[in-house]
Amino acid sequence: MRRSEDEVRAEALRQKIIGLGETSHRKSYYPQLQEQIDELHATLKALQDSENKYRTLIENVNVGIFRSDIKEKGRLIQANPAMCRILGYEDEGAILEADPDDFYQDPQDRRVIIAELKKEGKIKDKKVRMRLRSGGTILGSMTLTALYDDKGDISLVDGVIEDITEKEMKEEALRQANKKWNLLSSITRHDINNQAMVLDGYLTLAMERTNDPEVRKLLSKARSSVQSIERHVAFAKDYQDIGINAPRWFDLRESLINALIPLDKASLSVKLEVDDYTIFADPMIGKVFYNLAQNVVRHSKGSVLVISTKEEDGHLVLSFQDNGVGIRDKSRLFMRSNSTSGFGLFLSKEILSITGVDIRETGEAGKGARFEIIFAEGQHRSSAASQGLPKE
Amino acid sequence: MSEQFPVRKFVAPEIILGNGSRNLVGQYAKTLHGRNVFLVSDPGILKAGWTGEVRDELEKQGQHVVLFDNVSPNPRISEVAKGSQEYQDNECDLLVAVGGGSPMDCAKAIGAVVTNRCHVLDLEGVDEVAIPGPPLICIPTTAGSSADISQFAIISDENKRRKLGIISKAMVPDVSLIDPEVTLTMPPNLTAETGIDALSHAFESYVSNASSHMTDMYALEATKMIARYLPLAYEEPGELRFREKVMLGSVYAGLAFSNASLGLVHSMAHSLGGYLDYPHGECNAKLLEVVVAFNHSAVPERYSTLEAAMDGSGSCATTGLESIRSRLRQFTEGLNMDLGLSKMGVKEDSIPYLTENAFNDACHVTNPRPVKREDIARLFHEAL
Ligand SMILES: [Fe+2]
Repeated sequence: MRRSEDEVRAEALRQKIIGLGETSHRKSYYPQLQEQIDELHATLKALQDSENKYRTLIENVNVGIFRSDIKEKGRLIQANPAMCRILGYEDEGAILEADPDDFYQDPQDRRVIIAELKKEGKIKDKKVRMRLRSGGTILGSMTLTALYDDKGDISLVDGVIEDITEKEMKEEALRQANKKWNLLSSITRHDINNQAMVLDGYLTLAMERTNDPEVRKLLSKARSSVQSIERHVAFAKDYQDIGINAPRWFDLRESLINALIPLDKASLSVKLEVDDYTIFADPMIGKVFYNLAQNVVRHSKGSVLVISTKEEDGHLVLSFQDNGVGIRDKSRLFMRSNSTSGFGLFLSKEILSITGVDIRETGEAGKGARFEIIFAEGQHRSSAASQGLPKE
Repeated sequence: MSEQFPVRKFVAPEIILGNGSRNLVGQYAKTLHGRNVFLVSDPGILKAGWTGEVRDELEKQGQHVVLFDNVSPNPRISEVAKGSQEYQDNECDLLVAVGGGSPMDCAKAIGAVVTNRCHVLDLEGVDEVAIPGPPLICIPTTAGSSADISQFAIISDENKRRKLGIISKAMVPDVSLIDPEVTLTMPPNLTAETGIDALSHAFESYVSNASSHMTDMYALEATKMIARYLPLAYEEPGELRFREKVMLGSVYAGLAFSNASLGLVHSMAHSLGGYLDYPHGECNAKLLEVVVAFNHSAVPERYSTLEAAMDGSGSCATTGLESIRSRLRQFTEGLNMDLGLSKMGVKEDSIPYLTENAFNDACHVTNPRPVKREDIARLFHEAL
């Protein structure tokens, strides 16, 4: 018997209602749940990516990175390829098997380092003579961080080692060259000064022997030139010292007082109105202070100098204000060629620029000169913050 | 394939049955990872106080609640659309329905529309819900629709004045908190209407050609309980003992029909309810007897068993069609349900339209006697 279309349709629907086919789903799937699962997957993926990223980074850097287990006699439990390369091991497996004492030319160094680590928890840029697998020596710079177990004992040590052998050799060569250069420079200066003195002596004698005004005028000019030579030599000496010693922190008031001691107090009265600060500067900073004070007498023709501090947007402004005539033409003030002020301001600017400190002149002509030295954020600390600084 | 023991599926939600079970709504909302609950109800239930109580319970458990009570007695396409929009606007993640079949069917449709990002009309038919809706907790306040248990959701197409059926296992709610106490506020006429709906579910699923041993057991037990206790609950609305029994009967009928499906009574009732916007239970009451007469010759023993169940006996004595017809008439009259569709305002000339819609309804595909359009038209005439 042929079934009608309606009957076929009805039977198909009936089968679907009974629900044994593939289209019949129980309510066991929630989109919300799926969303949460998707989110979790995305997070895991991101985590994996991030781990891969760091792994690649650690495997590709040029410094040795390792982790050692203090409780297992300091044996390495992780080392990156650079670590193996630096110490001459073929792979991580080989270096993990090595006795930690074998990494040091003097195994005693290791014990000293561990003792220090136990005390400090951290060691930074420690120079150590390390022993290669082949027996050779390199100079390593080591930075270590201790990791603690729940009892507070050191369990693991994370470390970074850099092979600084070559760097150290270059620095040493540079030091030697500098030393020779300084020696040569100082001998030469000395010789020139001697000859200049002799020359000046002869010129003085020559002036005493003649009354011819034309000749005396020429001899006088010649003496000025000799004095100019002496100034140049003095500048060369000062300039040579700039940047030789590493910058460090100074107590502001203390360095001002020390710097101004040689000043002639009869012709200039100095008022110190500075708050408690420490400043980060080249050790020649005192020369800058002295030079600024000296300028008051020599160029601004002032009698009073007020040195004060104020803060502006995190900057510390140290100002030198005098009551002299001030400075009319400021355009060439800090240039080396400005002979009216000697080389003082040029030198001062050079000294300050080593640590990135700025200097400017903001005085009004006729109302005195005002020099301002600007220490940016990070180059100064107020006394509260500088508490506990080691006294230099 | 054995006709004696056919392969059948049985699907049910997690059912928590008993007085006070509604108070577990907060806990279940949390279990289902809800944070922002879309609470579907209707104005009547809101007034009776149940919606507010459920809302308090949810908020006590830290849930944010968005209330949607814009649901008519026959929930409409526009209401589903509005509900799903509000659900999305408020970024809700869980549905709770409190009420009779209307808010529950509406909530089921809202959920399916939200996840499938479609129009509710796209979901009409069997297994058209590709992705299940968000988690759904139902708290039925009537003892009849069993929307809290079934895989059906019936929505009114207000423009075409017809009903559309969404039938899919994915529409079975997650949790059904069945609490007889909340049926105490039902007025007698609503008790009768919804009770007759439950009896129709039992009848239709028992004679369905997709029935199984499990659904038979539930259908017969449901018939017994409803026949015995519905008249008592109707007479004494405040008696919890009767309410419990009627609720239980309704649950059993729901389990039966959700899995065995229904028959011609529901196809015609859906058509009628959609056309006249008349309560579903009342439509069933007026159609059950004429459909039994139409079906009787196909499965006479089954009807005898149902009649015996109504009488509370296990007798298998074959009684005739007239016997069961009068038993049903007596039962509906006892509940003061008027028979005759003409009293509802059905006219002769509406019958072709009613017939077409009933024929297109999926319920009658499991009717024990195959149905043709002219059969339906004739039965509408008879029921006038
Ligand atoms: Fe129904």
